[in-house]
Amino acid sequence: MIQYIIRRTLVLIPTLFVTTMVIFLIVQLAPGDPLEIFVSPEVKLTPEEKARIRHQLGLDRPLYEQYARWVTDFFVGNMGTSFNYKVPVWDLIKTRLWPTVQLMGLSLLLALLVAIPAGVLSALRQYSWLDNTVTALAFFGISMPNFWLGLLMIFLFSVYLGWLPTSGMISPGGGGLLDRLAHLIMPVFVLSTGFIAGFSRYMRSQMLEVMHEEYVYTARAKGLKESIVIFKHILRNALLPVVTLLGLSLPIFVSGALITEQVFGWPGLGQFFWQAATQRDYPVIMAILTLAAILTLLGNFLADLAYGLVDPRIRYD
Amino acid sequence: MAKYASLVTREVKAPTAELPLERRTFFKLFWRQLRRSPLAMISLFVLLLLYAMMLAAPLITQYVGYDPYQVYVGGRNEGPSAKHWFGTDHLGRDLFSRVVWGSRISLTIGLLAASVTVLVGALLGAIAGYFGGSLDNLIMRFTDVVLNFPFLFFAITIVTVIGPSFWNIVWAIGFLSWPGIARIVRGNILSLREREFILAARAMGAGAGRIIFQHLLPNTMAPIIVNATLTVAGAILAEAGLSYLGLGVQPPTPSWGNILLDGKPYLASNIWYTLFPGLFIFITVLCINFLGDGLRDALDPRLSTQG
Repeated sequence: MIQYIIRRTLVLIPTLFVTTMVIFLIVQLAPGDPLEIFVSPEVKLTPEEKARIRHQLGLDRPLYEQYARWVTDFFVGNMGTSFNYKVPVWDLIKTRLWPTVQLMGLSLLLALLVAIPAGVLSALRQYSWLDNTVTALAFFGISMPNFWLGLLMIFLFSVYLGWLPTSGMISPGGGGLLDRLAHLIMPVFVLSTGFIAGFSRYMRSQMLEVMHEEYVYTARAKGLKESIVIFKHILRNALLPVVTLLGLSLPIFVSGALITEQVFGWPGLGQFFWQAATQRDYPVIMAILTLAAILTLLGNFLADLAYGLVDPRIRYD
Repeated sequence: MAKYASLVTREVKAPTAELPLERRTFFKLFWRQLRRSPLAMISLFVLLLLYAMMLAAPLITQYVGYDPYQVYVGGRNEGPSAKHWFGTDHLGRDLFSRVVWGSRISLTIGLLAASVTVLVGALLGAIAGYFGGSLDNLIMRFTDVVLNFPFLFFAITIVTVIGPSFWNIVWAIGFLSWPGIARIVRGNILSLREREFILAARAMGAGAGRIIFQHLLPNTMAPIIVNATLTVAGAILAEAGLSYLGLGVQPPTPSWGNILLDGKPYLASNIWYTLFPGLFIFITVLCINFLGDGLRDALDPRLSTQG
């Protein structure tokens, strides 16, 4: 097991290396002088001043040196300075992280609470009206552009009915728990519909697979009660891969909510990334991309490990 | 010797003569399977209608009598009427003709991005699977790297860096989507290449190119078709998302996503502005997903029991 962890970690390193290199290169492809983004266009600079700033930013170094410096700095916790805000990138990310984590955590929780029972029931009653309804809703869920769903909800619940606030995290001046919850309802609902659609299909197919295992027939044949067969023999085994799903969901805590945050004016990381992209704030763009890629790798890694822990059939050798 | 020669030529000829027949029966069989699913057939019909609408956009707007770019005085943010079927936008342009013309961007980007995805993915997957060894390792490690990219973040970065234009969006979506197909094709080819018919082809002196394109890839068509269909759906949603963020095809050219972006400030006063373009995206993607599901069942009956 420990050997496996070490080997997997060693594989992560080249992947991470190539990932950071691709990120660096994509940003290098950008036309124009980064200096012009760093310094506002109204400021007229002499060539000497330009050269000095260029030197300060390290832009006069060869590309591979710039890359090496960026990567080593990144992994000791220095993500550079934002072009736009002129403050360390991490300080900016820090304040946007919590709103996104809050939003995604609640959406994921709601999605699991709805999708697991929905998937289980529709597998147990395959091809019943319940199963067909769940299937139809899942198809609607994956086909609906979530920003459109968000816009329609804003129209219905904020404009027409006037029940919920249109955007933001708290009302100006307000800030009680109820006020915060009211702001969360619509974005959480929109985000979780997408997850519910995917998760419930996944749960259903896992259930159907386990339901046709030999040991399930054995359990029935030896006269166990149907409830015991379902809960102890089928459900417990069908739930195992959900652990993997949770691991794979890790990166969405950084990258999952971009458009939804945009629709609801939620001050999270996704919206911040979008602003940085439109302002060409490259240090911020690179930092968030790298963070998201690291979380994806970590999520895959944890998913594999966790799956091995809960399922004794998986052996690492 | 002469006897053997005739034997060999007869044997070689026989399968080539039967080949077209075999192929036709594959598609016939497949079509018969697909026709059993009413949902897939309805979806196919709706999609054909949508693509016909896209092709006939100039004729349709000519018939209706409203240009998608022209500002019609007298009505801004009007609701649907006999004159303007979907109402008018904030500048007084006819929304129906804008939505019809918008399909040109959304539907073609979907198809083109999926084509790039399938071409790159199938080719790299086939090369990795057929040659194996360090080439396989190299390609698959790179596939893993791209698979780790969070889609929307990278799409936004690429489009900001190279600029929002029709083809740049196609490339960005294609570049980020191919790993899925590459993995599936590689997996299929890994098992196919050990089969006797590949050994036979190699024994007859077929080169790598011939084996890959004539023997291996045609046999992985089923998963490729299903995946390509779902990629079109994903690409249409991605394009709409990018356009909604202002990173799509730039106005005044309409696309379903950028009409939604334009309409957002008028959500309270003109819901139709938001309703119609979104409905078109939703119906298109829904039909593609239904069709993809039907294709999966038709091409691989084994999967249909598992949903």
